[in-house]
Amino acid sequence: MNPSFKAAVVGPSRVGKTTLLTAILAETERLLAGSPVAITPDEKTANRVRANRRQLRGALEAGEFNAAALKGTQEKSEYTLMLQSAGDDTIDIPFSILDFPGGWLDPAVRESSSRAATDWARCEAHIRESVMLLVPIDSAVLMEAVTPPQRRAVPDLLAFEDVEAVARKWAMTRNMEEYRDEPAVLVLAPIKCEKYFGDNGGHGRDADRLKQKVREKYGTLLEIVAAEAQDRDVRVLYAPIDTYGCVELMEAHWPANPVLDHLDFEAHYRFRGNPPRIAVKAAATIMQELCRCVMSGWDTVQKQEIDEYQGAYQQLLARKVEAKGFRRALTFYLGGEARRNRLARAANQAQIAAGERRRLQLQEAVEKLATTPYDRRVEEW
Amino acid sequence: MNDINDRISAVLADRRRLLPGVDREIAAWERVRDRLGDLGGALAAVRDGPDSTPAGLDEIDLPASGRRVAEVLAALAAVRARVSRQTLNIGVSGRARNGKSTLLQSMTGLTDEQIPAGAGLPVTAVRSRISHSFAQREAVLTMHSESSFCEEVLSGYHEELKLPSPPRTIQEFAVQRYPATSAELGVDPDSRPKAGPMLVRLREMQESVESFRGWLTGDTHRVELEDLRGWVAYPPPGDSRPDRRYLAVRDARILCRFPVDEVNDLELRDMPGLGELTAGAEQHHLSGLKNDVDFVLIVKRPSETNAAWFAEDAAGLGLIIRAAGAVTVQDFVAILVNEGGCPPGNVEALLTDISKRVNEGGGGSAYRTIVADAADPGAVREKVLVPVLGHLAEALPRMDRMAVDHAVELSSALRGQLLAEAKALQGALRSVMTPNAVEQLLQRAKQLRAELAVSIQAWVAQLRGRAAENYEDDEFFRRVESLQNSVREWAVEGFHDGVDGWRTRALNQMLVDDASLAFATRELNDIRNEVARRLSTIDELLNERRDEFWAGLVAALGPRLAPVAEGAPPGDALRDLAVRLQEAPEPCPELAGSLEFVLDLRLDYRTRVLPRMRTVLNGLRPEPDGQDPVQMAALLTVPRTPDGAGELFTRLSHLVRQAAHEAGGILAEEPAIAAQVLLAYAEQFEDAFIRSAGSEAEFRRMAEAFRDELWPGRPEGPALATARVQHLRSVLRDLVAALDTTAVRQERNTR
Repeated sequence: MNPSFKAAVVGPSRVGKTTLLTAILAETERLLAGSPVAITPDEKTANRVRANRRQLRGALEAGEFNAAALKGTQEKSEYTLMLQSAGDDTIDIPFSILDFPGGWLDPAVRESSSRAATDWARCEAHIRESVMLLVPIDSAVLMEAVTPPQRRAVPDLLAFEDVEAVARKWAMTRNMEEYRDEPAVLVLAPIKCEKYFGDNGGHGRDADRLKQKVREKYGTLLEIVAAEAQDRDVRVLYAPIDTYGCVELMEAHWPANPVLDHLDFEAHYRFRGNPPRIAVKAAATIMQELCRCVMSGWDTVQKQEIDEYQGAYQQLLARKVEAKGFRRALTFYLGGEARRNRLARAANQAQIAAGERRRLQLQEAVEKLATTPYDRRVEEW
Repeated sequence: MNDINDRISAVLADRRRLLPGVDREIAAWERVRDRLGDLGGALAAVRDGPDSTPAGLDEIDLPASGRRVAEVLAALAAVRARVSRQTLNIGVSGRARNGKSTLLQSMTGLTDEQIPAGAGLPVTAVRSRISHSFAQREAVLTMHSESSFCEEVLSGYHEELKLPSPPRTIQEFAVQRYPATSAELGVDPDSRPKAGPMLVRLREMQESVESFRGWLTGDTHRVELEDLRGWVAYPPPGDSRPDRRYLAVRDARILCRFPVDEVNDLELRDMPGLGELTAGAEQHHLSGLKNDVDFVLIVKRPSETNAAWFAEDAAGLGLIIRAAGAVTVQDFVAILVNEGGCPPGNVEALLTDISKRVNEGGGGSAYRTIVADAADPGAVREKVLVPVLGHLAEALPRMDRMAVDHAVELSSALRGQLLAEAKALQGALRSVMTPNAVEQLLQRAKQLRAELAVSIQAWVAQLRGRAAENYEDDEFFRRVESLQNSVREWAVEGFHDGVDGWRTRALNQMLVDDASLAFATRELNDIRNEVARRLSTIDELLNERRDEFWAGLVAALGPRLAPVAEGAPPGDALRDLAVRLQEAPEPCPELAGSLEFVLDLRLDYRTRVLPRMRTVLNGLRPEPDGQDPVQMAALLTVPRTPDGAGELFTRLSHLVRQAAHEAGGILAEEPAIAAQVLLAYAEQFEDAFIRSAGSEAEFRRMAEAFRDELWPGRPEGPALATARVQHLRSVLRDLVAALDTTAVRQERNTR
């Protein structure tokens, strides 16, 4: 199996992760428009994205859009996006984004769930190799909780405990010696932020309040990550995303949950503009940041190779012999291994030259994404 | 006689000048008596109090002091009686059947009709006062009332005979069942000889009640002297329907011209017969002797069985000696040996017996003894009246001085004793530290400030609890939710018309206007105003919160400082208190100002919520401020079709739902904000009321101005102990002041 660049997602199910992925795709497509490189989901991901877009179109027709009530995550989902050369679908850089229930970190939960028991080893490996931990946040839950019972429901609705547990695990592995020279990015991504911003067709004035609430509510998480990754830097990005751009929260209901001792949350959105137009904002940040990780990793590898020749860093060298995960992906895709594999199968020099050109174009596209300025909403904390 | 008359007139005039002084002295000693009564109460309160009694409070014997004050007052009363007499009063005393009435007849010129002097049984039933008058010749009878008859006549008999309480009305007396014999009385056998005749007399009175009942009027009755006998004499023995009008006579004063007309200011007193078996006779006699007469003539007629000085005579003289008081008894009394119709031997025998038994052989202690025939007016004038008046003209000033000196002596001694005792008590109390009135006020003000600080802090703490992040004002949230729902439902259900009705109206109007935007604009304006109106009803709840805040403060200040009238809002009590503090005799502007500060609190929708609510309502404007007008216009522009009307309804109702939701968010923040505001006001009030620069001074003013409301009735606890001792001190001060007003002190001051 070919390696990929990995990111882990942790957050409550139905927070809108597929919508987020759809938005990431849409905005990355926009950034890559006119280049010979495209971003393509694998088939499974593509199906999901299609379903999501179909749902949105239906809502647009109906004139009202209701987000489903948030419920605990029960299954893992893996999304794969590939940066692909337009002329050769064998030349690509795949990104694998894994969403899994935070509760699986608990051995007792794993024992009670056959699915968890089966998938856990893969999840663990994925987390270990993820350069990015993406935390999508339902901004409406944070912002619309005004009464004490509503505010009390927020930690459960946003699955703070699970998120913090996964973040701890991720930060611990990122802090391990073998991963310490790899990138580590924690992205706090409030989504469905349309109502709170005035920069995307809306009139919201609550951007600062949202940021303050995220800082406040996710302060513990940031402390955990800082504490667990003491021997290295972790880049923290705050990226509030408009996943639709054309909806605005109309009203929120907090029905009592008959089973749990907290309130549930139901948001109702209305479309704004006539006709409403989808206007995703800041979603490309995720892909841009992943590309930045790739480029940063590649720089490190090249520097280390020079050091290798100079006979230094024997230990590092020994480890590199067994390169795997992020490093393997780097050397595989950017170092030429993939190309060599393909060359072995190639029949003539012309094809070899075209392939090499497309590989460089792909590398340039990654570089371009990595260096394009982020949306103005995005901040590094 | 003219010389005697002048001298006696001068003595009487001198006496009258003393009267005001004597009255003042009596008033002063009556005050002392009253203060001693107060002292008893004050001492008992201190002794009975829960605190330890200061040492030295038991050293005053109040009952004994009370008795001594009574003695001083009695002496002063005797002096007053003496100096207030308008006439020279000579009493005629002696046992019955010795010629008293005969002597009085000789001295006054009256006859048996006025002064019965028959032979045999005693005939004088009413003792008269006989005054010399040139002009008048009549008797003035003061009649008993029914009650005075029962109290003064019957009660004496009941007491002597050990009978139950006397009747209260003459009717009760008429039907009273008395024992038939003395054996049935509760008296001991030794008393029966005296009690028997007394019971007989009582029964006679009861049997004849109808003869005098009608005269028990309490009025004065004037009688011709010729008709007087029926009023003053016992009925003759054997009378089947005895006339006992004399029982109705309380006092008889006879006015007539005396044969000795040289003496103008003379009154003769027919004293009750010694040994007569009437109730209280002796006490009555003694009282009369003490207060009514300047001189007593004891008449003794040495008949065959009466030629010696018997024990009864000695007892009578003993009473007179007691009555003389401070006056030398020899100046006060003379024995008239009535020789009329008696063998000279008897006269001689009696004189010898008197000389031997009474005068103890003569000398300085001898009683004046006169021998004269009482029935002979000439002899009476020469031998009795002229020498007696001569003696009195000379002796009265001396006698008066002695009576006054005696009273002064008693008064002075007692004053000294009482002052010493009062000072000793004051000394004992000096060791007890009690705050004076000013200190007490300061202490109370301090205590009040401390108490209010505690209760106000408790109130502030309660408000702080409400302002805490985790406090849940459930009622407020319920009201907000209900308000939100009412707006939402109003929108979802088609505003005022119902969904179908609204759509129809919208379509019709759009067709009339030939445009959708105009209708949508008007509609949105109406909707916005209706939403604003509905949201403003939260005012009621905010005002409730403000009233609760005031009520909490009123409770902290307490019902005595800020009483709440039935049904009145709590703000009124605070307003009233602020006004009273401002208008107090010494105003308390800082305390009043702190109250006015909390009264200025506004939590209403208009000032608190409206500014933020307008931003929500801005979203319901056809051209919202700060937004692209084209965007809203695009939203409000729909096809002029039924579907277009439906679409417009959806969009408008969505806008209202969003506004209701956002309004709910703003209102939901209100309990926390209101709680913070209320806490801030409360803390500010507490600071200003308790800790401002002028607070301490103004609490003193408030304590003074509101003293009656704050500390009504009797003090309690330590304050009560203080009050008890303070009261005792105050009573002692009053006692000393009362003693200072006595004549002795005044004399000392003038020296």
